[in-house]
Amino acid sequence: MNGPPAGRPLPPELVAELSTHAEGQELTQVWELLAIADPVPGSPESSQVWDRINAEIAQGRPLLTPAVALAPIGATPRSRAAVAAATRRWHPAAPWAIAATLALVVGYGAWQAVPVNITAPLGEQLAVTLPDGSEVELNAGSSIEYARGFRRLGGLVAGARSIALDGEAFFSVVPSVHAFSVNTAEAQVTVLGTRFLVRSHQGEEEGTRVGVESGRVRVAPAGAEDSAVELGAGEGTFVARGARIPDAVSLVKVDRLSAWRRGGFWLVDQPLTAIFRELERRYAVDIRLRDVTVGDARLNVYYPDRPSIETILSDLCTRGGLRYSRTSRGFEITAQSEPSAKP
Amino acid sequence: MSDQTADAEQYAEWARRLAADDATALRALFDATYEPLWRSVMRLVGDDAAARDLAQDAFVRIWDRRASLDPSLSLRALLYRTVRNLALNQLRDEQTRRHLLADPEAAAVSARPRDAASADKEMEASELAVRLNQFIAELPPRQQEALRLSRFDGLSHQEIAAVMGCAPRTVNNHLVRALEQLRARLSTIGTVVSSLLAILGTSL
Repeated sequence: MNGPPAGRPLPPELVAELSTHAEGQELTQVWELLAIADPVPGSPESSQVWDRINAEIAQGRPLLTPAVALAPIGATPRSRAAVAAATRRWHPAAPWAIAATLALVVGYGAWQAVPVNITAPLGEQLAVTLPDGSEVELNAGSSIEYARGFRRLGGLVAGARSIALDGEAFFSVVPSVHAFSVNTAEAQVTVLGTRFLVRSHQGEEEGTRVGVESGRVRVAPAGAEDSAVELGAGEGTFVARGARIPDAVSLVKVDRLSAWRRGGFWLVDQPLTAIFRELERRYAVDIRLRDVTVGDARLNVYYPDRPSIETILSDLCTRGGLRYSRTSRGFEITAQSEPSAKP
Repeated sequence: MSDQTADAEQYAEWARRLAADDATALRALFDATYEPLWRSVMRLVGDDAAARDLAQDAFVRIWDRRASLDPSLSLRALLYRTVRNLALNQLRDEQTRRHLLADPEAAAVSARPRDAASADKEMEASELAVRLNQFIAELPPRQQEALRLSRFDGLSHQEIAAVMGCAPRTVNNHLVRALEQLRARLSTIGTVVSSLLAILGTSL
């Protein structure tokens, strides 16, 4: 970063000043001569210093939020979302998930071979603490599956931390020597300890989206580990279905990609049908299109604060020349006036 | 300077990553700045162990306030200012500490009279370095500090201004005054700077 002092040019402000100075040339030479004058000899020991820095920041830092037992996280909203906590609703886990936890402790042997599957019900989000202490926040209607205790079949030793994901989740991975990987239909995302988001709704979207909040992760197309890309904080990529290489790495707003964690609703570059599907999951409603085609024009929608579904529907319909009305299980979308509405 | 722009972008990126709890950014920052930072503290406290402790402290403090880092403000300036304030506090607390490393007595001892006939370049350079350091140590403290941060640490005027808590314009004035005084001091020992540069030419 810092070159040797000998080669250091005069700062531009000084060049300007000396160009009109009576002794400008000589003063410039003094500057050059100072190359031999740095009075501090030697160089410092650095690896111990770094170790101590590392130890200090590892102690006091809230790098990862405190572990919470397996969902529900109910009464313990996290501090970073304290503002949103008042309006945010966390839902208790399905009873079978709690039963599964108990069984994990009691019926250890029999359960060993059965993978854990956790699904956030429609309309609900779920926070899950994994066996290694890493945390997963599951968006509504998304599910993960992993080997119980991250243990190898029949073994007692914790092996690779591997998760299968269908849907969307935000991961806060605790550092470990064991790689942590998230597998979707299209991609494998590998990390050591970091916070990132993965989205891939099977049979519904064209691929897997990944955004990294902190740390580094590797993203490879499923079955093509050689063509991985590495993402740093604030970077994202997309693995299209059947792609042999991921899209070019781009800058992404991870806080927006993961707006759902704070009750927000954010989708970028999605056709109206995909937005309706997302609304169905998030609000556990049924959205029917009647006598209308919505086309495949792509939209961005961003609501930072827990919007009501009607707010979103009303905006979408205004934009698409559509109309919505309530039904017993959700909403029905119809054309506003003409039989075939313009998207 | 495009170098400084590239530097500034790099520091801004680290600031953003730090704000996102990315500890690897702290490591990168440490790798890039620890040694010059240590040197800078050494000049103030003159003690290796103390300088290492202070530099260590500065990095931990940067980490502690990572959430509030502003990428548009120089992270390097913040580091230097943090370490400088820590060092000045320590110096104030332990008044027995020397203010500056360059000890005029030590300099006087090693500044032997010059034997023009046998003077080889290296000897000349090291003697001259001793004298230069002595002259720098005699500069008013603010001029000294500005000169060191600019010439030895390569901070921009903006960054120095942020470290020293003054205007960039004032930094420029300090530097010009410092260079003027050094030139005057060099001429009192019968040194013509341009000829020295010619002699030392290759070693610069």
